[in-house]
Amino acid sequence: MPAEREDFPIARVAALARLRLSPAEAALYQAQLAQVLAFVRQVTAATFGSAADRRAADREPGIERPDAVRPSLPADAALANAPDASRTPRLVRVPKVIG
Amino acid sequence: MDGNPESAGALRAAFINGATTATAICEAVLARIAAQNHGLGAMLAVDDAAVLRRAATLDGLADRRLAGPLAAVPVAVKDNICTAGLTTTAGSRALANFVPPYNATAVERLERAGAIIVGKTNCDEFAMGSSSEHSAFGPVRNPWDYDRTPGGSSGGSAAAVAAGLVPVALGSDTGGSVRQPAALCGCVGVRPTYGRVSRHGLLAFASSLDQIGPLTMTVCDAAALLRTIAGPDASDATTSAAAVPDWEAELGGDLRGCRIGFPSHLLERGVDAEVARAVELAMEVLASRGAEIRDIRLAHADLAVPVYYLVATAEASSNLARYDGVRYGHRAPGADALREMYDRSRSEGFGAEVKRRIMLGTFVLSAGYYDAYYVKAQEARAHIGAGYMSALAEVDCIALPTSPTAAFPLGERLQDPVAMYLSDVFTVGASLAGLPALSIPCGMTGGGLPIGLQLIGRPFDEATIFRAAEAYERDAGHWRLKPSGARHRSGA
Repeated sequence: MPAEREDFPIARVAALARLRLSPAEAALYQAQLAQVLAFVRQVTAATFGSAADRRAADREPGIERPDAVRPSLPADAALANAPDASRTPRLVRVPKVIG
Repeated sequence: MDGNPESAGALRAAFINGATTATAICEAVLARIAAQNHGLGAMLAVDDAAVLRRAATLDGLADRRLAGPLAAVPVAVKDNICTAGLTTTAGSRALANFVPPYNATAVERLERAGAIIVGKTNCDEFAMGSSSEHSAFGPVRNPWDYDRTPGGSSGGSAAAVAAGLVPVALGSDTGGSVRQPAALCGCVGVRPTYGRVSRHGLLAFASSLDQIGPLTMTVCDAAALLRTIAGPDASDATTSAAAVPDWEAELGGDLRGCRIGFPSHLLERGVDAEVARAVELAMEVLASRGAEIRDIRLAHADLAVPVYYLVATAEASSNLARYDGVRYGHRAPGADALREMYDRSRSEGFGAEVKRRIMLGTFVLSAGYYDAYYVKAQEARAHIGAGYMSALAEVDCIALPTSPTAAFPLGERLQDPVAMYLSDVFTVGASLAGLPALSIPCGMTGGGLPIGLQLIGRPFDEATIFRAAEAYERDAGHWRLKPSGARHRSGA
C-alpha cells in the first residue's frame, strides 16, 4: 500500500519514460502529477464485495491468433518514413550504441 | 431516411438518382473547408486534387447504384487513423511528417463502400484530452462559440460535422472522445461495443479501450457509417465475429417495451443545472414514445474516472514507447548516442499532456506501485463492468448526460488536469465496461450551447440505443439547428 501522502518521484519516472525535463517542467509536472495521484488514490482505498463480482473480474479470456507467417509491409514502404535510412542495404541508421 | 437534406443518406440518394455529381458534392465541401476552417481549426491535411480525382472516378461509373452504400459521401477522418498517402499526425509533433503506407481497416471499408475521404481532422495529441486544445497544430474551436472548446479528443471531427463542413466523420473513443465532443458540438457520436470495429490502423493510445466510431448529424447516418466499418478483421484479433445487423432497417418505430434505466443518483452533484434539466426532459420525451423509465443505481460509478486514468495511462506509457525516433516520426538532430536520441526525440516530439500521461502510466506500472495502483485499478474496472451488466439485466439501456457541462471556455482547464479529467465522468464507465454508447443532442443552454444525452447499451446491442435515439431525434430534430459559425452550408 503506498504511503498516504507522497510526492511524485518525477526524476525517476521521467528517466524510466525516456523523457528529459527542464527544471521548470519537472517542478510543474511534479506538482500536477502529485495532484492527480491524490485524486486516483481513492481506487487504492476501495474495497469490493461479493465473490460473484470477483468471478466477473476474472472472466476475461485470452485472445490469440495463429502464429503464422503473413505478408507484411514492403521494406521500401517501411523505410519511407524513417528519419535516416539506407536504401542499400535496406536499413535504418541510428547513432552508435556502444561507445 | 431522417429528412435532413444535408445528411449522408440524402447526398447518396441525390448522387444515385443523378440530381448531383460526386464532383459537385466535393467541390462544395472543399469550398466550405476553405471558407471556414481558418477560424475553426477543425481540419488538418486536405488533398483537394486527390478528393476531386476520386469524385471523378465515381462520376464515371456506368451504373451509380453499384458505387456502394456510401456512394459519393464525403467523410473526414480523425488524424490518428491511418490514411495511405495522406499525412497522419495524431495531432503530434512526433508524427508531423508521417505518411502511412497503408489505410486503417475502417478507412479501407469506407472507400470500398463508395465514400470519399476528404481530409484529416485535428484532435488532442494521440487522442489524449477532452478539449482538443492539446494539439501541436493549434486548438479546435467550437462552431457554436469560437471562444469555447468543441470537446475532445475528436473535436475536429465533431466541429467539422456540426459546422457543416462534411456530413459525417470518423473519430476514436477511448474514454469518451467521440461522445463528449458530439455533445459539446450538437451532433451524434457513437462508441461501438469494444471489438465491433477493427483498430487496425488506429494509432494506439489505450488498446483495451480504443474504438473507432462515427460522428454525424443524424442517427440514421451514424448507423449507416457504423455498419460500413464494423465486423471482424484478421488484422485485429480483438474484433468480434458477431453479426453486424442492418440497424437502419430497425429505425422508425416507437419504444413500447423498451426499459431505460436512469441513474438519477449520479446527477446529484457536479452537473450543470441546465444539463440535468435537459436530460430529465429527454426522459419525458422517451417515455412519451412508449419507453418505461426506471430509476437505477450503478455500482462503483464514482471510481470510473480514477480507474480510467490509471488503466489508460498505463497502456499509453507502453504503446507510446515506440516513438523513439528510430523507424519513423520525429528524431532529434545531432544526438551522439542512442539513449540521448531516444530521450531528446521523445521530449521534443511529445506535448505536455502526453508527457503527463506517459509519466503517470510509467509510475503506476513501476516496481513498488504496480500492485497498489495498476492491479487494483484492473480489479475495480471489472467491478465497474459488473455494475453496468447488473443494471443492464434489469433494463434495456441506460441514459445519462454525456457531459456534466456544456462547452467550456478555451484555456479554462488546461492547467488543472483533474478538472479536465472530470469532463469524462459520464463517459468513461461505458468505455471501461466495453459497452456501446452514443450521444445525441437533447437541447440547448440559455447561452446557446448544445447539450448531449448519452444512451448506453448491452454488448453488441447497438440496435437498442440506435432505436431509442432515433425515436427521440425524430421529432426533436436537433440537426435543424445551425451554429452561428457555420456559413455556406447550402453548397452541396
